[in-house]
Parts: sequence; C-alpha cells; structure tokens
Amino acid sequence: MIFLKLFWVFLKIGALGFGGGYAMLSLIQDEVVAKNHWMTNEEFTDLVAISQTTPGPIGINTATYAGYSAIETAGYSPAMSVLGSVLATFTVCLPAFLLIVFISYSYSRFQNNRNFNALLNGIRPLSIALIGFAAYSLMTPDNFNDWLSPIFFISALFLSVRFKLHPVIIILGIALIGIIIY
Amino acid sequence: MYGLKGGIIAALGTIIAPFLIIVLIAMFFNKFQENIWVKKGFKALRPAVVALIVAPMFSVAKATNLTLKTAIYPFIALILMIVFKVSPIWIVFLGCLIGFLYSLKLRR
Repeated sequence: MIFLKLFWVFLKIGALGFGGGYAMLSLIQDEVVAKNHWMTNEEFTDLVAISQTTPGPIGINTATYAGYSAIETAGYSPAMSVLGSVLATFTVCLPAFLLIVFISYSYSRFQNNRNFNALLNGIRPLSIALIGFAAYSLMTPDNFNDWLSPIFFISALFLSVRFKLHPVIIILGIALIGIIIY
Repeated sequence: MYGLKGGIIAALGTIIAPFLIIVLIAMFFNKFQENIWVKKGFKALRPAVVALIVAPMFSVAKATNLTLKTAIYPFIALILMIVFKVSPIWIVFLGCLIGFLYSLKLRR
C-alpha cells in the first residue's frame, strides 16, 4: 500500500529531522532515493535546486515533490499523485507541529528541560555529518559529468561561503552560464 | 483552544503557497525537462547545488564552535554512513543517545 508507505516514511523523516533542513536532506535522500527508488539521484538534485529557488523550507518542499513522484511512479493518475503530495507534506510537518504546540503550552517548563536540551546538544555537531552525507550522496558521475562540473562546484562554494551570496542568486547565475556555454 | 486553531491556520498559511508551486512543478517538470535550455541550465546547476549543500556545514561548524578535537564526533558519524552504510536515521538516534548520556554524566 503505497500511501501507507508514504505516510510512514515521511512521519519518520518529520520526527527525526533534527538539525534543520539540510541535515534532513540526508534522511530524505536515504529513504526516497536509496531505499524506495521514488526518484533518481539526478531528479533529487534538481529538486534541491528548485527548492532553493522557491519559497518554503527545503525539507517540506522535497516532501511535497517526493509525495507526488512516488504515487506517479506507482502508476496512479495525476489527481492521486496530488493527494500523495498532500499526504507527504502533512505527515512531514506533523511531528514538529505537535511538538511546537506542546512546547507552547508548557513553554517555561520546557525551556529549562535539561533532557530536551541535552538531546539537541547531542544532535547539533552530528548535523554537520548529516549535511556532509547528503552532499556526498549527490557527488555522482551523473551530477559531475564533465570537466566544467568541478569548476561550477568550487565557484558556487566560494561564492556562498566567502561572499555569503544568496543561493537563489548563485543558482540563477550558474543556470544562465550553463545555458550560454553548453 | 483558540491558540491551537490559530496555530493550525498560521501553519497552513505558510505552507500553502510553496506547496502549490512545488505541486505544479512536479506535474509539469517532465515536460520542462525535454526543453534544451532547461537541460543546459540543470547540467551546470547540479554540481553547484551540491556545493550549496556543502556550504551550510561551514556555518554549522562555526555555530557549534567546532574545534579539531570535537570534529572527531561528526567525522566518525560520516565514516559510519559512508563506509559502513549506516542509515542517517541511526545517526540521529545515536546523537540523541549521546546527548542524553552526557547530560546524565553532567548531573552527577
């Protein structure tokens, strides 16, 4: 039952997506590409590019798209596929939503909750590894397919880290360069 | 109870526009993909996207005051995932466990 599977996968991702959107990407890539084959690595990379240029958190955007393509790949109609994106988007938000509602009801108590803070302190340094793994999974021959690829990689990294250029500007700029030179 | 209703409506309000955009892209991306300009653009984009995923590692490292000594911790996690094919989900669990054990040690 593909819908049930979708629900379970995105509930897991939503509940364990500590460490922010980019750390969440490795969980999503692992489930959506590596384990369930709902999309290819190339599609996933394109999706990350799209998510970075459209509004909304990257984790939720990816869930919306993956929900659609999972149902579409299973051979259902576009209407059912839209239902799939609704389901994936809803479930990926659900755990965080419940947690935040719970926190806002008992904020002062929770703020000083040592166990919860300890949990986050354990995750924070690991989120670097999770982000790194997401990047590693996407360093495939399909994504780096000619001698210009490393140049695009290094220049994007440099513009982002050194000059703090916004991802949207980098993405639009490099897409434009690609259209011109290829 | 009004608070909860407000929370639900605010959450829906933030999600709905990005949701519609992504659904539209998901519906028509197959057709766009055939477009030669889109193909060229994405060919150049893909390595840049990977770079944009690498970039936040630097800011997170700064925010968590990562030193050479504490860097061993994410380094081991990365080795576990890449070499030993451990699923990222277990890494999150591991982080929770380590944080929790550490707090027990501090309390003593």
